[in-house]
Amino acid sequence: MMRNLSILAAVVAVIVLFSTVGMVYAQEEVVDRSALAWGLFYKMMTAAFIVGAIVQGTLVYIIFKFKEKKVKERAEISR
Amino acid sequence: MVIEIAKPRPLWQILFSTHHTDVALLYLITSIVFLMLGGALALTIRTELLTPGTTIIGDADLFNRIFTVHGTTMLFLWVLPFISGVGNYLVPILVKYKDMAYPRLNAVAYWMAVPGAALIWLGWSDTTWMAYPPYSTMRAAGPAADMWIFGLKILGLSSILGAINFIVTILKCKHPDLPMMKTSLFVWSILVTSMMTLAALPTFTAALIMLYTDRLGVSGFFDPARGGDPIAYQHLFWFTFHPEVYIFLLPAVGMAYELIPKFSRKPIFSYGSGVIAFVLLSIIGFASWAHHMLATGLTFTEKTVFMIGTLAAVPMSAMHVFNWMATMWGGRIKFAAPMKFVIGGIMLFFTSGAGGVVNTTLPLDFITHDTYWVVGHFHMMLMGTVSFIFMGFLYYMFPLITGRMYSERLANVHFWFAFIGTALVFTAMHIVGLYGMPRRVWDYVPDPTIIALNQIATIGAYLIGIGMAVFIALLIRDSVKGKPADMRDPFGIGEIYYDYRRREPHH
Amino acid sequence: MGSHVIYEWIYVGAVVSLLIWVGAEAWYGEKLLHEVPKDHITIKVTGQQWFWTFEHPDGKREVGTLHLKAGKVYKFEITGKDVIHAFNIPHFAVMIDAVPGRINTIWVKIPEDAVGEYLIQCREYCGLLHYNMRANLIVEA
Ligand code: HEM
Ligand SMILES: [Cu+2]
Ligand SMILES: [Cu+2]
Repeated sequence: MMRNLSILAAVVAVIVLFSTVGMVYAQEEVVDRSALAWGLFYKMMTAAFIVGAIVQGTLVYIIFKFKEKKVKERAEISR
Repeated sequence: MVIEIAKPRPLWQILFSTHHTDVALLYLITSIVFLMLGGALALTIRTELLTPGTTIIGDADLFNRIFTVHGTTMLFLWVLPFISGVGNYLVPILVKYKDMAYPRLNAVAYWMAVPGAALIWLGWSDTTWMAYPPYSTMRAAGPAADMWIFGLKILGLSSILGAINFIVTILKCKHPDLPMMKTSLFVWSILVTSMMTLAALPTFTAALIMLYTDRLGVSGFFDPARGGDPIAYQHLFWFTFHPEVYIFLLPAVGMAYELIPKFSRKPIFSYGSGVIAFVLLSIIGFASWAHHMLATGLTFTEKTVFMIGTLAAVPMSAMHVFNWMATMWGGRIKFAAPMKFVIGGIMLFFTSGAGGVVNTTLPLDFITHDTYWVVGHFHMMLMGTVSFIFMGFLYYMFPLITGRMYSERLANVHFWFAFIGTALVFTAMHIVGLYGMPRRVWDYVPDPTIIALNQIATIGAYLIGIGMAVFIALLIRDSVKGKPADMRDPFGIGEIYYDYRRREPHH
Repeated sequence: MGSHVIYEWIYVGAVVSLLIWVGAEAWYGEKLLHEVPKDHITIKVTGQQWFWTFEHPDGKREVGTLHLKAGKVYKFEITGKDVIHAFNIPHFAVMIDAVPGRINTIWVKIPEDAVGEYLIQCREYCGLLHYNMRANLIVEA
């Protein structure tokens, strides 16, 4: 477990490091502020909707899987 | 008295009582009354925005006064008194003490809220709930703005007195056999928010005095012509009110921790992580205030610091969500009204949290700040999460307060109208904000998309309105006519309920 | 159950990494927008209840309408005369407060192909006619 975790941490660290370094050395030119802002917005929305789907999906799964009636039915079948 | 009809007492006995359940009852009734009044104003606002141009409100002046009183009411006369009410009922019970530490101070704190509320509702200020100078000092009409300042001043002092009382009750009056690390997480939430109140609120109470002397013309704290700076007020204001938004939220989180294990019939997944998240947030919450001021001309460094401070507070909220879901996982969940409202609240919590992250993502503030996006964000939080959990918790406390059971069928109707309505209104508000619609406007550009989104929002608001009408009817009817509740375990979840005998102090 | 708490820490790690990514993207974007490009034309903008005044480098003043040229970089120097307003051109994501006693700056490059008319509005509550504190941006070739 600990080994997996440290590998995970290392991977995340490398990704963050590389993207930061890349950003700092990126070419600077006169940017289009509206294009930049909206580009970032869509990037954030993509991330938010993916994470949101996971969180809300898990919640809905829990609601259906562990509701009183379902748990009782499962208990009866396995008996 | 309608409530507590099972054993009626003359009204004056409750009004002049200092017993914690009586003061709590007064707080709760007050807060619900103002929830309904504030809601009526919200429906008026939404009706006006149904079509461009005048719909029902003849002029912008009245409109500006209505949204100011709406915002002030919902924050200071619904959310805060409700927290004090539930805290008053439950904190002494949960720390096993006979009353609050200072019962008379407790009653004083409640009765201070009454003139505070009266000043706001008699004045009808048009300063917005933030009262930024120079508008509030140089242009806003008196006596409304002065009454607003004094109203908030009194409410602020009342909050501070209440906070002191909670802290002493929890830390000094807790039963010696009950270690802090075994105390309910709801008590923890009241403890940390009371401490935050003591640290945060004095700044704003000072700023209010400065506003007032500026209005009188004897000082120029916020007047550039006299060497002052309007932005200084915003720092003072948000130093109080960013922490204050967590003061609104955390008690709701604590209530969710009370309800979820009970209705899932499972112990809390990790009590320790709940405590850690509360304590950390109460500290980090003080490092984000200027995210409300990203458009005021802060330097690049200032903006970066406050963005990091804001993002640093997000994992704590995420920890609560994990803790709740992990508690439900593998449980046997009973979906009575309290649990429905809590789960609805968690769903909307994610949405508003993600919206908040977008707000603080620096360049995006050019798009979202002071548009309807921000209105969507904080309403999703304050209505969708905070008020939902509060209403759920009121259902849970209903037997404790009245000795009766509410109608589950009507509560279900309330829930679905409120949930669908809330999702509709505040999602539409987020989107219309992206189309550039500023907040606090009586009229908007008659663009077909903007009109359509406003109409969706208004329809959603009406759905909430129907739900709330059902709610208030249910509360009144069932506290008079509801079936007597089984006071040991009213929800049939195999838990010992709160000790209802606490309601009768005199024996 | 105690051992399952490790899942919570993994989850917190994931959330924190995600937020670090968000913060880095935001910081980088803001950095690009922060420094004003060298070749720019300065426009002085004043907000007051309830209209906008613009002053070009040659001293020409306009009230309620602003004429700009496509393909040029503009820097706005913005202030408020009475109360706080906010200078906002939604289409170009230009937005900053107009604060009495302060001058805030923001810049924008108007794209070559942006000839047309756009909305300028006030985005900070400023009293009675706040809702109608608009101006016209006309971008010419
Ligand atoms: C994930 C957590 C949160 C984040 C990252 C966050 C972030 C933000 C940011 C950056 C703003 C400023 C938006 C702007 O004006 O441009 C904002 C506004 C606001 N937030 Fe949050 N927020 C969070 C949670 C909350 C909570 C829990 C509450 C209340 C219970 C809340 C209430 C508010 C309010 C009332 C405003 C607007 C105040 C106003 O301008 O009238 N937020 N939030
Ligand atoms: Cu905040
Ligand atoms: Cu204005």
